[in-house]
Amino acid sequence: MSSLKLGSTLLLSVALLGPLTAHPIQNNKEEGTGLLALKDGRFIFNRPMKRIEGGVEIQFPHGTIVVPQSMIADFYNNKLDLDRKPRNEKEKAKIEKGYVYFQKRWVKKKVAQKMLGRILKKRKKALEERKAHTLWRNRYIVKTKDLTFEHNLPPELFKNLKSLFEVYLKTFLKKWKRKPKLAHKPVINLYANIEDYRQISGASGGIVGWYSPSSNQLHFFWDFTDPASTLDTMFHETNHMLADMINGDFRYPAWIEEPMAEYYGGSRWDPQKKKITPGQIQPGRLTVVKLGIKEGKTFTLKELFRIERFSAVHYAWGWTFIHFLMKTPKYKKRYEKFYSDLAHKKGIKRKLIYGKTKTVTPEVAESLLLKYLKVKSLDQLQKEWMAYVKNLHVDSLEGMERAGRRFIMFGDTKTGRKLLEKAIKMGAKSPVTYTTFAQILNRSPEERRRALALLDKAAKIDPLFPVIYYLKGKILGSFSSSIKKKEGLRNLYLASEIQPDSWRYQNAIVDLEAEIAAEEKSKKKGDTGLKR
Amino acid sequence: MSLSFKALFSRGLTSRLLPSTLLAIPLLFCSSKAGAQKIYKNPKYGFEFKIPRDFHEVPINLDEKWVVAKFLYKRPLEGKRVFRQMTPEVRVIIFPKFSAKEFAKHRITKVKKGSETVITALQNPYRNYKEYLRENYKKGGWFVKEEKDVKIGGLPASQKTIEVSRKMMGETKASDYLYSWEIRYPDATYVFQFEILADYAKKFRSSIRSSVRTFKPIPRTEDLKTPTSTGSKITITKFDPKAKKATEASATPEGRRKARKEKLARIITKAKKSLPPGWAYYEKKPFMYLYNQKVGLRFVKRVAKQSNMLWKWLHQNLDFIGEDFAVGGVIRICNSSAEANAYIDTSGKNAYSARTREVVIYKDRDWGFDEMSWYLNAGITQRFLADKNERLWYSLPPWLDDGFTYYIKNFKPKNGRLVSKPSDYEMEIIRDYLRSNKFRPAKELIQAKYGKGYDTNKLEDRVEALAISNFLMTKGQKKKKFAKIISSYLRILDKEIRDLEREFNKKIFASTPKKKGGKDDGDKENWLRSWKEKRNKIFKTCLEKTFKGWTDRDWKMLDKAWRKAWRPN
Repeated sequence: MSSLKLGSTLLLSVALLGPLTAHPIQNNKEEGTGLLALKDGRFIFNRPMKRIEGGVEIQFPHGTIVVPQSMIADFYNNKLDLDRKPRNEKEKAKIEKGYVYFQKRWVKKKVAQKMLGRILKKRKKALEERKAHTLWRNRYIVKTKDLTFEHNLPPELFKNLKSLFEVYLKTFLKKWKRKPKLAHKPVINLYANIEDYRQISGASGGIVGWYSPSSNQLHFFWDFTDPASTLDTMFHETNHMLADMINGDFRYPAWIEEPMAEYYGGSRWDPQKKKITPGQIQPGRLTVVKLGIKEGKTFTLKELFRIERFSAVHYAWGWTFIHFLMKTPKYKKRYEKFYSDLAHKKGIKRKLIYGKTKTVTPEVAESLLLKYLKVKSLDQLQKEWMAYVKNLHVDSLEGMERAGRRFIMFGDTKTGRKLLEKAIKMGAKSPVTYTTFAQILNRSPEERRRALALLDKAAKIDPLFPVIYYLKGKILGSFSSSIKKKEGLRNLYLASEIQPDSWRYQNAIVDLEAEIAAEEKSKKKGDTGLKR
Repeated sequence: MSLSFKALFSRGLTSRLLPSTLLAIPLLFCSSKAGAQKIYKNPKYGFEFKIPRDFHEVPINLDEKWVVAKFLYKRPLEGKRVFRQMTPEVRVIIFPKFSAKEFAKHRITKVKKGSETVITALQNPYRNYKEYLRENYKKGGWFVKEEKDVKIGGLPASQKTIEVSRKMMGETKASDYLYSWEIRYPDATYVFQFEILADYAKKFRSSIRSSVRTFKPIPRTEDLKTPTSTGSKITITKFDPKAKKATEASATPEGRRKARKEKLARIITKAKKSLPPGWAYYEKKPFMYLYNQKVGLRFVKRVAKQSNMLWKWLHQNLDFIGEDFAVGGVIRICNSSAEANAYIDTSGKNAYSARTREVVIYKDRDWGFDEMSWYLNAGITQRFLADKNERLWYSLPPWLDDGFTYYIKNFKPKNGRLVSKPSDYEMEIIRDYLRSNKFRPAKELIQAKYGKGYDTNKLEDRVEALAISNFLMTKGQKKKKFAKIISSYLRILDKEIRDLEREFNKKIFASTPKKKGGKDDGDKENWLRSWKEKRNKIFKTCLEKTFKGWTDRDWKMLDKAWRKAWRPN
């Protein structure tokens, strides 16, 4: 909430300055060019922009976009108008005498211009500094009692995440009644986007976050298109870190370590109450499991316990098992004791894996689990687990959005469509939900028209999400009307102006331009009778 | 220096110049020993600079499109904080300016020739150094630590210090540094990049800086090619089975041989032309050996002898797998692993053509020829099979993929013939597993599929595959029942794969052009998805046909025989 506060303070000052003029700040070649910082870490700069009611209007060569106030963290524009139309005769007289209304009082225009110049200079400096901090060499380093943070996120966003980490740490230590054992403070590296994360942390492929027990460093990034997934990753990887903090040299077998982190990965964060509730449904993982059941590909516990390297499928099945144990009243306490004792109780047979680091064999873990849960056989547990999985369903709007998108990503458009339909009816909040759904609506002109309407809704949520204009461009380009095609082209250009480094948008522009040119050429031929 | 010395004497100038020459020689060698800085000139790309002291030029991969020059330090440096070696490297990379829109226009071309449709897709080029590093520098995480504007050779440039840290390996501090200068020519950006272990950064800083200061543009002898004209391409050739006409190059094995030979000749010409100083070539058909003269001609001849013996063996034993002709290739012998790695380490988004005809090895002064022999055999076999029947090689079941290929890779000349013997380490594992009864019955292994019953990461599986294949190709040859197992399996597999390919081609050509909102893409995806199932079906057929009539007793006999073959006498 504090982030909102800061954002609104800044916005208030901009709103005050809005209708007033100022000296044009030097170094800005184009009058009206501004710098816009969004709360999610994105920046728009070198574009003409101005404050309007409800947000900021940015002019791109192929369209004007209004960014809602709720998305804006800070804004600066070198062309702010001091002149305003008089509201009454009294004001008219003041203006005629060379006065302007500035900061709730009437002052001489020259004085106001000077004051405004100073304020704008400050504002520009602050925004440029904010932008400079996006470079990793200028990253923020924040040290707390238990953790060190290194990040290039917007300060408002970080503030929220920092308090989340602190609450998470407190909740976790309280839950397991342990004290941190690590020799040095863990370092949490937070990157503003996936590109920075991959480049700076050196992560490869599909790894979206990671924790290194040898260096006690945690790395993950902020995905503005999917903040919920970012939080999942954060909760998951931080769980590895926290487990490492309390368990020292013990490593859990994969079927406990990863699914347990996934269980915590599905935590809900309430920033107002500063409370974490673990064990929510993981829509992505549940999708994998449900698809597996559909295709007849399930796992036995025996198999699961013996998998050394977990892949995405194993994560999903493992998560359901831990979810089952933690959410089933008769097993919850027993499993928690098993989890704690496995790492700490004396007398348990552990084996060395490297250096001083120890683990337990699958056989030991299996027999201890049965003993602690007071279950006679794995088969019995397997049956109960499977029955539990069958009854697991996505229960929240956000979960429905994410599960629907996942189903579509994995090729099950039918199930995905059903979920997304439902989510949209309930008022889906992520623009990605609308763009994903729009992409599969391509079977008839009616569907395509519906897709366009959905994309317009997405644009209201995040008007700077270029995928929206790209898809609009593609859909409009697929109609036979040349007017629609040209409007499609404009949208493609707009997407390319928001994200200039995308080859996909550039290629789409070239293709549609060629199509339009070819159609115009054939039309001309037809007109002159050459075709006949 | 020694070359010019020889030249002087060969021209009969001995008597007249001898006294002064003799005086000059020690001086010349002195300056050489002290590591005098040589000037590297690249008129093709229009630049020159003084090579840093104790660095030497190394060859650039024939497929490389971005890096135009590479230099290595005289020896690898041992990390002080990190347990690894690294040979400091200087490279020059060029990013020509181009219009993204123009590029997008030319990105796909389709040319129809007879029964072939050649689709060429240009890969998106790197627009700048950052993009290049993000996709190519995988040794660790990195970020620009310092950046400032400077002038190099009268051109504007950005000087960057890039800190590298192998965070995923648990490192927290800088492990390496990249010092780079992005020099902005009017039509391109040239990057002078120096890579060094962090422990040695200080030691090299001044010599590298002074080398960069000598960098200057010179007139180009050729126009700088744009990504659109040079284009890193991906080419797909579709064959229409219904078409009657076919191009000569693809219609007959002879036609294909001719085309391959022409391509190889072009590669050899290019390779010879691009040899840096200190490199030479030696030809013994069907291979052209390009070698760093420091490895010595004797070593090259040893490599040539083994290569030719293997080539002969492959023709004698595997000629039946395809009607095509194998045409040989290029074998590049580097002086060190650093040099070989520098050659192999190419940027992404390159063409992939010359590499398919080239085998790269190096003279391993620490471990001898054993390891290199393995790479040499693997490379030559791959060249042979790529020409003869590539699809068969890529379709092998796991036991043959690991077992039979290992058998070939282990070949070494002995008394005038090739002998394949597992390494001491492999032998130790085989015997250990036999003792502890860790191997499963041969039938189980041969029946296993990828991901089900066989794990290529599992040592037991790999070693058992090797032990059985080796047995079938050596001692097993003496027994009629086992002698033909591998060859008949390969024949059956080849036939099945050909049938499947025909079916695939039919499917590709039968599909109508994509309709808007149509289902074509989905159909193809489904077909491709079912590929794994088809492959497993083929393995089953091969198994049934190869081991037709085999009883449990036969399988037991095989198990007994191959296990016995590996037991110490």
